[in-house]
Amino acid sequence: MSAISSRPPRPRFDVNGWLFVGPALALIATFMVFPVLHSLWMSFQTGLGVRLSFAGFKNIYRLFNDPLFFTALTNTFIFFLVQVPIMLTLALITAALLNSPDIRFRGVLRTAIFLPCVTSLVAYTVLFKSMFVANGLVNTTLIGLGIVDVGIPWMTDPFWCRTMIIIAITWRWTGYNMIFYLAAMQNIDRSVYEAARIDGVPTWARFLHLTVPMLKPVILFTTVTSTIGTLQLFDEVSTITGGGSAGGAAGPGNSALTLSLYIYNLTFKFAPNYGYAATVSYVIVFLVAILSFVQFYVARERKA
Amino acid sequence: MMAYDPNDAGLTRIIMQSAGGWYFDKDGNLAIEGNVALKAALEVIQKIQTANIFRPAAGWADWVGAFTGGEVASVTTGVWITGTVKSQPEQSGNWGIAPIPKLTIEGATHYSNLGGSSWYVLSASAAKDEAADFLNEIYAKDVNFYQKILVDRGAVGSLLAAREGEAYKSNDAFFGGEPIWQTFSDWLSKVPSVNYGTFTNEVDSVVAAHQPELAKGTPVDDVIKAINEQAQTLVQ
Repeated sequence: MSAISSRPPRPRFDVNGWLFVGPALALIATFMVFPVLHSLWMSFQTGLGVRLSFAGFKNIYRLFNDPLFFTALTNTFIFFLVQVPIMLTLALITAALLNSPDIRFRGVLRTAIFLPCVTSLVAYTVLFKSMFVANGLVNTTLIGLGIVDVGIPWMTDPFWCRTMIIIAITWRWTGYNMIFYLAAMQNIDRSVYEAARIDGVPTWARFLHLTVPMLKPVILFTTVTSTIGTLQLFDEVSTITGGGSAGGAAGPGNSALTLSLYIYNLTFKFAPNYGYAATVSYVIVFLVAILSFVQFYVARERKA
Repeated sequence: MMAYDPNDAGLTRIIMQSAGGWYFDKDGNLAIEGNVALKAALEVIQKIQTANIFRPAAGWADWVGAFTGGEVASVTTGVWITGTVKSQPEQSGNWGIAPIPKLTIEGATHYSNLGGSSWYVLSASAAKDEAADFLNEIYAKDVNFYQKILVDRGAVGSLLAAREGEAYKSNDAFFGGEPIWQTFSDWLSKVPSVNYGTFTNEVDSVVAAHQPELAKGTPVDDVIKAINEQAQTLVQ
């Protein structure tokens, strides 16, 4: 103890320490801090291409009068509010099932459910698209099994187009979230379950009142990351609904136009307006911040 | 029957331009409401969709697959599709070319345009004069150059003088031995010219987004009103 306290006090500015973190800090400042600040500055400018001029709050005014922005916002929220709960519930249930020691081939099943996560976003959406076209595999199978009489209009009806995209994202990301739940479940002390079993608590109640509360921090984590991921949804909607000619809508009636896709269109597909696109991108930043805060607030530890 | 992607407004643009109309007027101002050609085009689109006389297509690959796979027997698009049509040798002799149908409004023709590309010389370029000279000598004068890119690459130029060359006079067995390039260049000279403006893609995405409403029987006038409202915020 005396050896430690007799050391001279550490200098405020340690040259060696700063030299070690210097390169990393320089890179973060160049490629992270500067672009973030620059995009904030850009969101107050308007104009086509590089001919930007200061516009004050004009972009924000445009935002509130832009029907396409509200279409994109609504679509993003539909994907977020429908897809995230479905996916996380599915992930939780599969994790609980695959954590049960009674199930055979657990390793194979876990790998099979996790496997979609290693596929490239563009590759799997191209496959989904070819499966869901008017005379694709899905419709042929459904008609062949006698479930429907005529093919489901996956690509021409807004409702079915969104359904198809939700099916695609759920397939791709359920296994990813399941892994978090599995890992957390394996950290739960088995004696808790044994005690509950001796007290006669049925299986479903053990899952609902023991497993779920103990997984709360992980559920919160996956909810926040899935929220951020869904708010930034781009690859899937771009690949599934795009690929046509230069013009065209993002899905039937722009039903798959997400905020990120709208930002892309404003920047690359339309006559480029970087300023307005930056304004729309800050909407995502604010939404992520607000929704994450709400989720942390709802899941906070209540002191009795 | 033809393949048609309701999320793409290409066919609408073809019909509209055949009557000399576009999303913008000659001065580049937005012209949606009161646009006779656009209204007539959307009426045709509504008829095609409600009569259900098309094979629905989703995106480029599916649309191309419909005619290369022999599911549909016609394709209405730019001349540049010739190469894709000819990619199926077993369909040789089964194809022919025909002008598009004509609308019944004033200024309507059998001829239109879709896609293609343009050459630009930037006024700030250091090699501005050289670039302009190159385009002038090759793209604006060299008839032989057009024969070469047509034979080697299937590229069709818009220089009318190119029709005097060897390749442009040839008959194509794939299309029943017709002199298709002479025919195309005849039509080329009759395409009504329009001002594409700066914001064609913006308005086009709005038009495409409203096409499914036509299939549900929404009156064309209502659809045009909705297109106009959305387009106005995008064109700025």
